[in-house]
Amino acid sequence: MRETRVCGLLGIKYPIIQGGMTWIANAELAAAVSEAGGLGTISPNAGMRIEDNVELNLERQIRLARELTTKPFAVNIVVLIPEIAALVDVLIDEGVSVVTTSAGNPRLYTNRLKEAGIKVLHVVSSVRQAQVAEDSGVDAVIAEGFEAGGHNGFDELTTMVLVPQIADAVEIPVIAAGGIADARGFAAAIALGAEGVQMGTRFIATKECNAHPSFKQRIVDSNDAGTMITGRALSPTRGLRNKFSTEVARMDRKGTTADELLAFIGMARSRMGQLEGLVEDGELYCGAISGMIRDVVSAGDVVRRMVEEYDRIVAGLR
Amino acid sequence: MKKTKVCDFLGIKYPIIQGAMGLIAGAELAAAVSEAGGLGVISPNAGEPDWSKVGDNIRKQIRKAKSLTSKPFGVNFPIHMIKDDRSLIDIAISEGVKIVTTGAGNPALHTPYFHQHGIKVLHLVATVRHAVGAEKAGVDIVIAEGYESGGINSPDELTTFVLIPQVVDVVKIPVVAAGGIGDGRGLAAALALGAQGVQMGTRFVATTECLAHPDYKKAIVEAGDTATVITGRGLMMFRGLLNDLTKELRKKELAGAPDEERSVKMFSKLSEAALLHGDVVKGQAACGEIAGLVHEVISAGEVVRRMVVDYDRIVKGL
Repeated sequence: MRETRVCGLLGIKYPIIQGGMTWIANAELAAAVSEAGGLGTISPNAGMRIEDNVELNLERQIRLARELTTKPFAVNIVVLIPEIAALVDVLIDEGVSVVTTSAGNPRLYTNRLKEAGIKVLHVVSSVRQAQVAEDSGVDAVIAEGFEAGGHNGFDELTTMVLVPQIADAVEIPVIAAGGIADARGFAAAIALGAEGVQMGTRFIATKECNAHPSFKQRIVDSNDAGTMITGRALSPTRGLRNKFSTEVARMDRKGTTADELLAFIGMARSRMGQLEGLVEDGELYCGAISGMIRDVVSAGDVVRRMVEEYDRIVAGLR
Repeated sequence: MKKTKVCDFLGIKYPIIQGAMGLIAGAELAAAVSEAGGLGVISPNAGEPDWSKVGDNIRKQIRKAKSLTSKPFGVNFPIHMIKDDRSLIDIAISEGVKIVTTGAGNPALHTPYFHQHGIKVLHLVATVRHAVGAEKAGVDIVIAEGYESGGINSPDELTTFVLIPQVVDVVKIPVVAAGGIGDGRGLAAALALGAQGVQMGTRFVATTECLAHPDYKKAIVEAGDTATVITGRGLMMFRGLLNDLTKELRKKELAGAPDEERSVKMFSKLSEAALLHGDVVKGQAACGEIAGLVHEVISAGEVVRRMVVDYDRIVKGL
């Protein structure tokens, strides 16, 4: 496949980025993706206990990834969390080459990160957010559609409609996310005007990911209707259907308040589901593409299969 | 662009199908699409809001389309509206219709009857399960429609990006992609995902030949990426322009209001008001999420020609 601007910008061979999934985007996974020519991403809280210090955990994860690969990798930070300033300090001190930012204002930390020589990719879910991110000086936007797992935009724009509209509205490269798990999605995203893809759910079902095996199995077992959106009024979130999400959906239908919902969800439900493997009572962030994932393979194989099949698919379109 | 199985089967040059938008997909539009090498499709109630007069209307529309083109075109039958009554179907048969699209109901009900009369059947689905059912019922092609599409929508909320490859993987008959497609990029992306063609509604509303009221076309042209909204969740889900009507319905839904306070029926006076009389503020104006990409009212033939030219350019660049 041809190189895109994203490859040059990030110093990678293939424009395939692994999303920084909370709790489960660990150094081993990130390093495996980067070694295969993509860009791996670490989540600061990967694998940690609730009582652990997230800055120290991030530092350890970055150092571990460095031992496993000499290639570039990224860290994802959620701008809205209270520890954000301290995490940014760690990223600068450790000299991370790429940071993806999400859920928050890109104006807050982009300048500081860029002054430290770090490339910044910001996750957006509407044209307006993409324009704000470009004005803030980010190097690329990750346009994430409604089909993506985890926290989701209020506007419910799908990858198919979001990517071309953002590609028309900004000059910086656009990376498509949401609903992509194989070379068909990869080629479709590039056809829509993206210059790369980010995938989360596909990379959970890999050998290197530290997600609990029961969670990986749920992804492999799920079908096309395996996920749903909950918390539509307050904070839309896509996850696998289980006891937990069914109960939240029931509360949604009644018109629940934020306080009631937070009281029910409590602390670290997603850790419970994703790391501890309590696949009924825990929250399982998962994208709508999970129905297409049928095996747990190595992260490197995910990247290699996508690249090999990309060329075959494109040849078939001509 | 290359020919696909859909082209050969339907006897058309390009695998671009115009969706039969209720009330506004008349003979002029269908004929213009077919003349340009795609497949135009007539809606039985085009320009005729009184369903009891639809029989005469179908006959009139079919005859008019035949006078405008000698190329193949189709007629749409919403099963939910006709149920097991074949009187409308018999009119289409007697007028020599060769292709129908069906949806919103059980494909087993009329498919054998269509086939007895040498008519090809394309059936609309929104999940893998329904695609499998449609194939078993004997339909010739499935149109897999994603959550981004305008008008009546499926409760499973599967987007075009995740729906197409999963349907392609389980059925042997050709798959046509619908929902979120408005230009050559969407056409190339749909084919990359494994579709053999596309169906578009919203893009064809904003054409000179469409019966839609000019103010409704104008609202689509002016729409941004976040201009549409889903209403009727849990009842009859519907995507339309965000306006006074849908804001109110949405507000009620999020507050957990009872069903009877937020339900709108198929082809109601509210649809007629928006589509035929241009009341896009208080009426129900069906519209897909791709409206943000539609910037002008052009001829339907021009829509087809631009898509084909863009497709070839895009595919070369992949």
